[in-house]
Amino acid sequence: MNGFWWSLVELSSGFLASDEREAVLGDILESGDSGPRAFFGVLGLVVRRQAVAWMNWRPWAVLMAVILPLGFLLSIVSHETSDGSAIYIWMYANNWDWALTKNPGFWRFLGETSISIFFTYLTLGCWSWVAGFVLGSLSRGMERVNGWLLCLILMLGELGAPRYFEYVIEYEHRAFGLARLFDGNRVVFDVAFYRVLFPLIVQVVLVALPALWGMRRARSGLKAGRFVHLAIAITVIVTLLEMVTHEPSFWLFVGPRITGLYPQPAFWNPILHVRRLLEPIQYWPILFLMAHALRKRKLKPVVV
Amino acid sequence: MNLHGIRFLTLSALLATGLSMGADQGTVRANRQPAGQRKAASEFALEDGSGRQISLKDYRGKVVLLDFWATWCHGCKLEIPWFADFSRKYRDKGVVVVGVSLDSDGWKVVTPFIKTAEIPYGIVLGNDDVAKAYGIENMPDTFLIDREGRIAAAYNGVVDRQSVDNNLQALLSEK
Repeated sequence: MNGFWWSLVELSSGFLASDEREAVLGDILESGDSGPRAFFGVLGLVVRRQAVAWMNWRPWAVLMAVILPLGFLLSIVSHETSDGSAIYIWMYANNWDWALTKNPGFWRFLGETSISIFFTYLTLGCWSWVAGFVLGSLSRGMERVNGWLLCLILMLGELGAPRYFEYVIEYEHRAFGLARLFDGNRVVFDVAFYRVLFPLIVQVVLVALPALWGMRRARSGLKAGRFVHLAIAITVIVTLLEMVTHEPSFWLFVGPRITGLYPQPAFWNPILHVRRLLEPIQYWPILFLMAHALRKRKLKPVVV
Repeated sequence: MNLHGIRFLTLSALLATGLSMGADQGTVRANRQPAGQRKAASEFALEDGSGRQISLKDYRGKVVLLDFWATWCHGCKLEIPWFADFSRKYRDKGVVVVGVSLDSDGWKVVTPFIKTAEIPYGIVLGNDDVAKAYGIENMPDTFLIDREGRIAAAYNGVVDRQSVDNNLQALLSEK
């Protein structure tokens, strides 16, 4: 069997439970089957196992309650983040002039911009990690499939985001009386890099990779006391609340289209006030990962 | 990820970058209106931080860069060093930069900002009437006004620095 077919066999066998996977790969090596035969054999087994798994309500609940809403929400926030930061990056990268550095305001604004972009990216990365952590905790044997499904939803969300933003403009026009059309900053988005490639980079680096990392971390389990588990559960819930209230319009995407009702700012203001107070908690994955790394180092056996 | 995977991803990224660079639509720049088609800029009389009244008509005979901004508008703030640079470069040739702040908290927030940012050009406090007259709905918004007091170019959103520079030079060379 050549390397290409073996890669396909390895990839498809990843959807099987780890013990079954090892047994299947061992059997293939011993049998000396041809590449296509081995691949389609494994694929058939994967399809049968998945068909059985999806007869249960649990994967459907995870799909409907976690993967779909969080996947779409993250891709929308990712698009917003990339568009927002693209403007500032363009202003520096595409308009750089050493003469400007002599201006006292230049360094101040550069500092402010860098900090602002850093925290926006950090927030998106933490949210994605938490979404992956939640998904990994709920997946139970379906991690690989759910990981792929999340990536698929993120990709669909990336394509659907412009349609969503059209809706938001309409919503904000009705609720807040804002202008319907804003064609500003075209100078930035006429550059294909900022319009096409940059949102993809942001989504891969700040959403897909942290989410898959979070899933992996959840899968490897956590050996800790009841208090730590409770603290993690609370911070996860707070972070999820931060995420779902970040884009109020997102949850009304279907509602107003059916009912014609557009909630007024008074409805959202108290919610937005509370979420502002809880904002620092959303960075807990950093503390969690640092604590985990320190603990791991501490437990490492000393070789004399 | 193995070496093949990394190579594949790197090649894909390079290809996508190349394709996206090649697919540029060409940067949109605010076109300078031909002199005969320009409309008169709305007159205003607004106060600066010292209480001195500044009117647009005071600058007749000069080229005016009129910038609508606010302290909460990040893109507006990033443009300020560009405009400061234009002000220094073209002040003696007849360019005046005027920043119209549309902060609803007024001088309370604008004065400390001007001090820390060391803005070298004039800042006045705008109002709804001026914003409406210039059709300001989102910021930043920038206008280039010729020596006759007519709008020669309007930029909605962040400006293309080179385009503004070129247009300023062209307006200065108009008789």
